[in-house]
Parts: sequence; C-alpha cells; structure tokens
Amino acid sequence: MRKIEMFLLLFFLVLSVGAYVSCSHLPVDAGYAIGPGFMPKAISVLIAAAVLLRIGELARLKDPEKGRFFAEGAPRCLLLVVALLVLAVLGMESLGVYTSVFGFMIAVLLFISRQALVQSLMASVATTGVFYLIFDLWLKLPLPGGLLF
Amino acid sequence: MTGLHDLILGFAAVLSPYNLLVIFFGSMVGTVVGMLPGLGPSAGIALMIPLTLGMPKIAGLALLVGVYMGTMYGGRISSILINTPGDAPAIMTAMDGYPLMQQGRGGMALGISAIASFFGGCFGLVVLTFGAPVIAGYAIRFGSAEYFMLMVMGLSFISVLAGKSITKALLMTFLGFLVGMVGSDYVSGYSRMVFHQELIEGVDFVAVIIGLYGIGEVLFNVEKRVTVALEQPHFSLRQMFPGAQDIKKAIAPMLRGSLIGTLVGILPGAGGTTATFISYAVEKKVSKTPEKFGQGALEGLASVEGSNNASVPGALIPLLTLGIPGSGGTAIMLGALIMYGLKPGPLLMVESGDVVWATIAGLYAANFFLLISNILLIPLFISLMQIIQKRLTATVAALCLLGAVAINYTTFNVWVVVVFGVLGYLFKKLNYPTAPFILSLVLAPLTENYFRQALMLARGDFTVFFTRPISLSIFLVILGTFVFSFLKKFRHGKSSQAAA
Repeated sequence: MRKIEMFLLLFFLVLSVGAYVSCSHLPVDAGYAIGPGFMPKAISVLIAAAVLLRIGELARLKDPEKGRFFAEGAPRCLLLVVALLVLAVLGMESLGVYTSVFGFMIAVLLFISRQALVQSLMASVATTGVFYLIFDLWLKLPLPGGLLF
Repeated sequence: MTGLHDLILGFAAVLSPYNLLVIFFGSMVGTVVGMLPGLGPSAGIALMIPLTLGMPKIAGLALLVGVYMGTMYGGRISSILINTPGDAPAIMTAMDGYPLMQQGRGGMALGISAIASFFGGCFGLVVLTFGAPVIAGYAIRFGSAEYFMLMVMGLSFISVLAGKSITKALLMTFLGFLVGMVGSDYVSGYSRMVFHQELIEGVDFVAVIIGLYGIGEVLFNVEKRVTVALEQPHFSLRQMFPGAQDIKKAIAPMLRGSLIGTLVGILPGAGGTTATFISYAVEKKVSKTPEKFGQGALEGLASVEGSNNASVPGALIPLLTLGIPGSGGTAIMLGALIMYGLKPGPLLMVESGDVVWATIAGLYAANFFLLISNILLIPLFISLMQIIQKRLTATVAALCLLGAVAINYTTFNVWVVVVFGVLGYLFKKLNYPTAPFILSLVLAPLTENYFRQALMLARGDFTVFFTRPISLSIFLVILGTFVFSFLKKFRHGKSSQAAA
C-alpha cells in the first residue's frame, strides 16, 4: 500500500516541478495585480510542499497498512479493462463510436463479468441500441460514425 | 414572500410534459444508482451530465437535481431489505431499518422511510426557498476581496472536513487547482500548461468527473466485485402504508432530523453522511427508550431518513447563493451551472433567477415523484437492479465513453476520461478525497479572477483581504477552522499515545 502511494506522490512531485518549469516564462505580476504565472507557480510549490509533508508522514508511520494493494487476481482484470478502454478509444475513429463501444461491451461482459456469449451479445446490442436512441434520436447528439456504423 | 413568488414562476417554467418526464427519468435513475453499492450521488450526477448536453438549461438541471435527490431515496432500499447500504448516508438507515425487516415490518419500514425522506426533502426545500433569497441579498454587497475569501473558505472547509488526513485533502485541493488553471488565461492571453491544442480552453470538467466517478468506480468494482443479493420482497402494497400510530411516533423525529439535515447540509464538507450520524445520535439522546435503537426503533429510521434528504436542499443553499458547493455532488452541480453559461455566485439568483427557481421547482417535483415511486415501484427498482447489476461494469464504462465523445465529438476527452479514471481508482484505494479536487478544479478560475480584481482595486495592496470587515471575519473563520482541526489532531495523537 505504502509503495504505491509513494509512487503516486513522486508522480505528483514530478508534475509540480513540470508545471513550475512550464510556467517559468510567465510573468508573476502585472502592474497592480498578479500575472498569469503567479498562481501556477504558487500552486506548484504548494503541491511539492504537500507531497513532501505526506512522504514525511508515511516515513514516520510505525504501523504502515500491511497487505497487498490489489485483491487476488485483480491486476489482470484491471489491466484488461484499461487495455479494452484504450482499444475502444483507438477504435472509435476508425470503426465508429457505437461499433467500438459495442465491441468493448461484449469483451467486458465475456471476460470480466463472465457472462455467456449469447447473453453478452444480447446485452451489448440492447444497451448500445438504447444509447443510440438516447444520444442520436432523443438528444440530437449524433456521435461520429466510422467504417461499420 | 419574494421566494414564494419566484417559486411559482419557477413552477410555471418547469411544469411542461417534457420537463416532468425528464425529472421523473432522473428520479428513477437516481434511485437505482443509489441502490447500487459503490455508486453514490457524485457518480450518478457525473454519469448523467453528458445526457444534459443536448437539453435546454432548465430540463438539464432538473434532470441532475432529480438524480441527486433520487440517490438519497435509493440508498435506503437495499439498507432496509438486506442490510447493505447503497451509499454512505444509508449506513444509519440499516441500523433500525433492517431489524424492522427481520421483525416482519419491512414494508412499513420502507413506507415510513419514504415518507420521512419526502418530509425531509420538503423541509429543506422550504428553507432553501425562503432562506436563499435572504442570504443572496446580503451576499450581493460583497466585493472581490470578500468573494475571494469566500472561495478560500469553501476550499478550506472541504479540505479540513473531507477525509481523515488533512495533508491528503490539501494535496487534492492544490492538484485540482493546478488542473483548473490549464489553458489560456483569458485576462493576459498567455497559455498555461498547454501541451495539446485541445487544452487551450482548459481540461474539460465533464471529462474529469466522468473519469473520476465513472471509470474510477468501474475499476474499483472490477476489483471488489461487490454484488447485492437483492430479491423481490414478500409483502403487499398495503403493508407499506404505515398506520396513524406509526406516523404519530415518527413526526417529531422527522422534524428534528430534517432540521439537523438542513443545517449540516449547509456546512461545506459535511453532507448527508454526517447529517445522518448526528441526527441518529441526537434522536437516541432525546428518546425515552434509547435501548430500542439498533433493534428496530421507528424514530431512529425516521430521523435518519429525514436528515439525509434535507441535506440535499441544505447543500444547495451555499451553492446557489454564494457559488460555494459543499460536497462532491454540489461541486459537480456547480460545474454544470458553469457549463450552461451561468455565473455562480451571489448574482446568480439575480441574473439567472428564472433558471435557479425552475431548478428548485424541479426539486419539489422530483421529491413528489420519488415519494410515489418509492412506495409503488419498489418491485420495479429491484428488478432493474437485478438486471443492471450483472452488467454494471460494461454499462457504466460504455456510458462514460459515449458521454466523453458527446462533449465535443473528439476522442481527446475520452483519453482524459481514461487517465482520470485510473487516477480515480488510485485515489479511492488510497483514501485520497476527490471532493476537494473537484471543488478546486471548478473554483480555480473564479478564485484567481477575484484575487486579481481585489488586488487591482486595492492598487496592489495585499492587506485588502484583512482590512475589510467581512473579508477579515471570513479569514478568521478559516484560521479558526485550521487551528481547531490541528488541535483536534494533536489531542487525538496524544490520547492514542497515552492509550498505548
């Protein structure tokens, strides 16, 4: 648990340094008021301070929360869902939004929810169909199509 | 009586078949979301925001308040039937609701809790209707320095009160602020942290909340695999209508709970969960039979449900009058107001009074629909939950993906959703509160703007924030909050050392 939090905190530290550096060319004052660089720089410093404070707290913890960060078998499922999300986003431009989401749903129902193929197909068709009715027909928000739909 | 007059105009605007249908739909969705463990008010509102993109302002906001109110009703159903709270505020509902179910009085428990929820909602709405114009009337005299201090106060309160660790909450507040500053600074024209052309207008708030509360919850549920074995109840409709004796017993607790819920709801960072815990404790204290609490005390159930639902209109008071949301749910509502081109703050009720009052009227309508549906449609909600639960991960994730594309028809926001989804999962696992993040993300541009304006008017004099009476008072409140919080932590540390 502590290791993962440390990684996250280090990521935030890098983020704050990156934000400070990317705003370093911006003026901090503008006449009587603050310039566009004031707030991002001040907040970056505050983030870095809060991160260091939290790292200090973690280091001082006598009884760090023991146990695994992920539940058993969870990393594989989590990675699979994230991978499917990424594939769905990549597929949106070529296959079309609805086709991509339809494929994503089938895969999640089959491999994560462990549903039977016919059930997964039916649920995906029904859900995507309902979403199409809501977005395209009711709300008049036509989502981009692609090769298939 | 200005509130009543405005409310009547609000009803005139909201009472169209389309709006009523939207409110009914929102209430139903909210109830089901509230029943599902893991999805709370924030997730419910976040998931519905994309649907409001194609709606008129009033209908869109009415949908969101319908969902918000619906989640408060929904949480109690699984609490009473199977002792599994659908959301955090429903934890206290299970204390006496489930024992009543075990005693064969489940129908009555569902009925009385629906009536108490309705009563609490109405109580809070009446306070909102007549209290909000008074507060807004005072707040309208505020200058930039006062507004800036108010924003800081909202952020401070939520940082101190949300979550167990102040450091984590402060870190989340600063991170939200940083993300809120990405994009073009509209005063100077400079671009800040713009690494992609889509970021010129900033990180889209809707994409961030869909990621944090939608995909984040999906990933969390994939790991935890929380399911609720909810089956159709075996009691008749007649059993759900409490008798005159039960109603008589519940009236005073409902009133006390509603008062506590409204007051706690107004406080930034508190909300429904705190309100239910306090009202339950108070009710037990004033009861002549405290030993019955936890074993099916009707008073406990009525008080908790009244306070839970009264906290929703209570939380809307600072949001609509001062532009300061006090919780994750109201922070998302604030984002929705901005999305519709409204300017949150004391002038909101003057400049956009028609929309605000129509939204409040929508809440009254939602509360009415929810009372009826939560007595008559319990079997339908349970059937819906049984169907959705098995496909929750896929359905919610698909809705998140489609909602993200609907924001501006590009895939950029879908990537934002995925990134914030992973972060949302990590935040939840590591107990980093997301409410301060969302609140500061929404308030960042406004806070910076008021800070600038105040300094400009004071010709660069920083003491302007401490020399004006109201801003100084707000500063002292902020200071007091932090001192109190640190002292509490220090004492807690000492007492744990002594115990060890």
